[in-house]
Formats: sequence, structure tokens, C-alpha cells
Amino acid sequence: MKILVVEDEKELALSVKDYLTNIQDMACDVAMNLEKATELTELFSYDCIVLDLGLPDGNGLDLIQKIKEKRPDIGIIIVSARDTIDNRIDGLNLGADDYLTKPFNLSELNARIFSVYRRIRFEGKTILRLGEMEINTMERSIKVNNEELELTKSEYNILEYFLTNQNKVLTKASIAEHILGEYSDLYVSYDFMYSHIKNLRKKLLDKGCPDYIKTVYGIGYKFVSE
Amino acid sequence: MNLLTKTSLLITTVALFILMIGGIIFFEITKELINKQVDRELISEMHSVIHSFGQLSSSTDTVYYDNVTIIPTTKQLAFNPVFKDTIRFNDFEGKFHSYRTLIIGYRWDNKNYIVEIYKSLLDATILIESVTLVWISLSFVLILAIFFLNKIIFKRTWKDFFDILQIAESYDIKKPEKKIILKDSEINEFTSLNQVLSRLLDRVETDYQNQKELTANTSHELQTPLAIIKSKAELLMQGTNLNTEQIHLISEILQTTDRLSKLNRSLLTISKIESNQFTETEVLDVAQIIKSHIQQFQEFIDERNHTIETAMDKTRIKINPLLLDLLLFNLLGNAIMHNYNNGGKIYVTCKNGLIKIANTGTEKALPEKKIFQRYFKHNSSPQSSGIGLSIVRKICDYYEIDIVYSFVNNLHTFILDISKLKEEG
Repeated sequence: MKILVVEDEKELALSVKDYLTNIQDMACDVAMNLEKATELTELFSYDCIVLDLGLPDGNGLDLIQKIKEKRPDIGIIIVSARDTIDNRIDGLNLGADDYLTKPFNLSELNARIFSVYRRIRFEGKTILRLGEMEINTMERSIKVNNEELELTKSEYNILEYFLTNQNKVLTKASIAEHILGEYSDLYVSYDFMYSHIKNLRKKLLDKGCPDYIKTVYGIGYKFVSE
Repeated sequence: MNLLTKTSLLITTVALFILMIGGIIFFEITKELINKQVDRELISEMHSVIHSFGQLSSSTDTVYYDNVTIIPTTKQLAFNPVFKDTIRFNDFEGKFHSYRTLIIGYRWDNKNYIVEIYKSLLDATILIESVTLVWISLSFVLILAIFFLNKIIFKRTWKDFFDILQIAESYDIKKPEKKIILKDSEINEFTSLNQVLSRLLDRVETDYQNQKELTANTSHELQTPLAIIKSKAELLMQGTNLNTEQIHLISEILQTTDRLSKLNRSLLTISKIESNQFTETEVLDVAQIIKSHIQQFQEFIDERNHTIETAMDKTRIKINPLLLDLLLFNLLGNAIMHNYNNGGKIYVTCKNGLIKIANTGTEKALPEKKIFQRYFKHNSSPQSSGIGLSIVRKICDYYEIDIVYSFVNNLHTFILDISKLKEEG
């Protein structure tokens, strides 16, 4: 997958690039201003653009329309410190596919990129396969060895998050934020997530899956598929 | 006591005092003048008595005339008139009266006499009485006149002042659209008061604006560095050759960054409310919104085995949907988080324009005045930022919703009066 990161903050841009290229095996370019971003989008074909709105030479919102007019199949995820509702709505109205507020988790960004990619390229009708597992992201259903597996909403969300971030350490906080959004702000303990993951692991083991979910003590979890 | 009462009272008191003193002096002077007049008359009478003394007195007995008594005496007295105030019986009226008496020794035909001449002071007394009466009624009229005059003058001269006062009273720094316009007054002092006030308000407004912008800009600018820290720590965590201790350190960094960014987000929210960025309103059913929030919180509620009881009527209010969300999210979140660790109870009612959210928790009332303050923390939850309720307070202030905290029957209870926002239909 080829990603363009448009972000004027050098360190942040490099972190994202580093994470996406070295850890998620994607191809990633960085543009630190609007001009460079426009140039790059004309030269190369990207699958997804991660776009900061506040750029030194203009508003990122202008770029959205330009890109979407020519290439509606490019996913655009806005990343901004300005989480005013207006900006979010403007961005989404102009054709952006998702919105993330700074500061964000890299694993969350990764999950959003995948989700946007799937939605645009396959109209959401993707089947994720891993060994004996088959996940229909449209119906949000899972089959193990062709047998339907009943999961709660949270369990499904956790599993999907794991699958898009395989073999990566995921912190409890990032998992909580992924499944609960702003509600995770109220977290005092992550006990409840522990029980969700325990249940998920048990359900998968019962269906004959290997023990994918490893606990990284004190930090979170890792979905090991290799 | 207001300004008019105070001045009226002062002026009336002073006028009364002056009139009283003036009255006494006037009374004394009148009396003095009358006495002098009477004395002059007595002296002229004395001359006529002496002039015709031979015809008046020829015997050695005391002779009484109408107003004159001549008493023979052996002692020789000086021919020197002495005046005296006496009281004598008046035969005509059959009453005692005050009289002015002139006493003089006189030698006639080698005999000594005491001559006493009387003059009734009845007329004088009547005169003084009428003068006093006139004086008192005049004083009364005068005081009344002063009183009303003061009132009229007061209203005229202080009008601009009261205009200024009214404008200043209606001023609210949180509503910048109500700009204060102070007119110049024809009275210099009020014009300078206006100028001073305008300068002061400008200053306050600028400071307020700066302070608001500082909070907003700071929290906004903090987001990017926080994002960098977070992303770097996350990258570090994915490294393959880390030992447990290193992973722990990274995890600590991540957790603290999360806390910081939550705090920062809340500050940003507060500064947005303060700068009126939530002006659009919608008519929403509070009961419906509460229900959906409870659904969102179900995970937390189930995890802790809380029971939640609701009794809600459809209540449509006009409000910004985001602020309503924030308000209920924080209040319900509080009721769930600051509760027993297991098996707490939560009661939510929405009836007659009142939202009531009650929950079990620490068996001690929270300090009512402090809970809405920014960063107030109750010791039982070191992880909470202590900013949620101050957001609640800000929203309530914004919509002039009365919010009351109380601790009744071991329940921490928040009651919000939303009747002002109610929409019919």
C-alpha cells in the first residue's frame, strides 16, 4: 500500500513514515507543505493520504477537493489538532474519509488506513483471512473453520483491531480508545477490557484456533500470527 | 440607604437644626425688642406720673391707681428706675398675667415714696405666640420645599450617573456582543467617570480575551508536541530487542502522555465554551439522549455490576447538541466512575424540567463549593483529572442552568434545572 503523509511538523511526519514503512511494511512519502503535496499527488498514485489541515502555505481542506475530483478512489484521513466540529464536518463534506485528532496512536492510524482502504477499494466487502479465521468486515461476522463464531460488539472490534495490527504491541489505552472513542477518557482501570479479551481468547481457543493473543505484561497485548 | 434618601435626610436635618436655632434667636430678639418698647413706654409713663405727682399723691397712705402704685416710705431711695417682670392678678380678666414693672424711689414734699408702674405684657405674649406659630408653619413649608426641591434637583443632576450605573450593571464580560456605549455628560465629573469606566472595561476585556486566547492557543499548540512524544514512544515500543524494564518505561511515557492529552482536550473544550463556539442549537429530547449515553456506558456499568434505574419523561429542550452530550457524558461518567468498585447504584430521573442524577459512592458528602473547581480531585480516584465537573459547570453557566449538588440518603445527587431551555410540543 502506498501512503502520502502531509504534515508540516517534521518529527511527527518522520514518526508516521517510520512506523508505516518499517513496522507496517507500507510505502510512504512525506510532504511538508501544500505545494509539495500537490506535486506528489500529481506524480504518483497513492492509496491513502494522511492530511494535516494547518499547513504553512495553506489549508489542507483545499487539497481534499482537488484530489477527490480526479481520484475519488484515494482515501483521505484528516489528522488535525483543530478538532473543532466545523473543521471535521467541512473535511468530511469535501470528501475526506475519516478524521483523527492529535495526539493519536500510530496503531489507530494504521487501523483507520486499512478501514478506509477497504471501504473505498472493496466497498467494504472484504474478507480478512488468517489461518482458519475468515472475517467479513461488512457484515462484521467471523467464521472459524467455516463455523460461525458469535462475538459481542466489543470483542469483534478488538479482534479487527488486532488483525490490522498483527504482531505489534498494542497498549491497553489504544485498544480502549479504539473501541470506545471518547468514552475511554473516563477510564480509571482497564479491568473491563481484560475480561473482553479473556472472553475473546477463550472463544477462539474453543473453536480450535492457536493462542494468538499474547499478553505483554504491564503494557497490553500482541496478536502473534507468525 | 440610597443616595437620595441620604441627601434628603441630611439636608432636612441640617435645615431643621438651622431653623430651630434661628427660631430661638428670633424669639429672643423679638422678646428683647418688645421689652425695650415696654420699658420705654413705662419710662414715659413714669415722667407723666412724676409730672403730676402732686395731684396723684398727697396722703401718707399707699395710693393705687389703675397702673400705678405709690407707696410712702421712710427710706430714701435713689431716683433710678429698676425694671422687673412680675405676675399680677388682672381684675378684668380674673387671671394672673405677666407684667413689666418699673420701680423708682421719689422724693416729694420732703417725703419718700416708692412708685411702681405696671404694664401688662398680655399683648406682647399674644404677639410672640403668633410670631412663633407663623415661624413654625413657615419652617415646615420651607423644609417641605427643600425636600422636594432636593428631589427634583437630585434627579436632574444625577440622571447621567444613574444611566452609567444601569449600563454598568447590565454589563457581562462573557457576552461581548453587548458592547457598552457611554455618552458624555454635561457634568464634567460624570464624563470623567465614563472615561475611567470605559478605559477600565477596555482593559478588562483585553485581559479577558488574552487570557482566553492564551488557554486556547496553548492547549492547541500542545497537541502537536504531544502527538510527537506519543508516536516516538509507540515506535520505540515496537522495537524487537527490548527488555521488560525498558518496555515498562515506555509504557509509563505513553500513559502520562495520554493523561496530559486528555487534560489538554478538556482545557480546549472549556476555552471553546468560554469563547462562544457553540452557538447553533437544536431541539432535542433529553430523555432520549440520556438513554443513548447509558447505552454507551453499558460496558462500564456491566463491568462493575452497577444497577441503573431511570424514570424519564420526554423533555424537549433547545440546546447545542455537543454541549448537551458533554454535559451528560461527564455527569453520567462521574456517577459510574466515582461509585463503589462493585455493585453501585445509579438513579437517573428527568421530570418536570429537572434532571436528577444520583449515585452511591463514598459515604461522605463532597465539599459543595469545591467540586466544580478546576482540578478538584477526590482522593479516591487519583487517575481522574478533576476537570469534568468544571466543564459541567461551564456549560450550566453558559445556559444559565441551575445546578445543585447534595448528599442525601447516602446518595451523591446532582440536580439540574433545565426548565428555562424547555421547548413546547
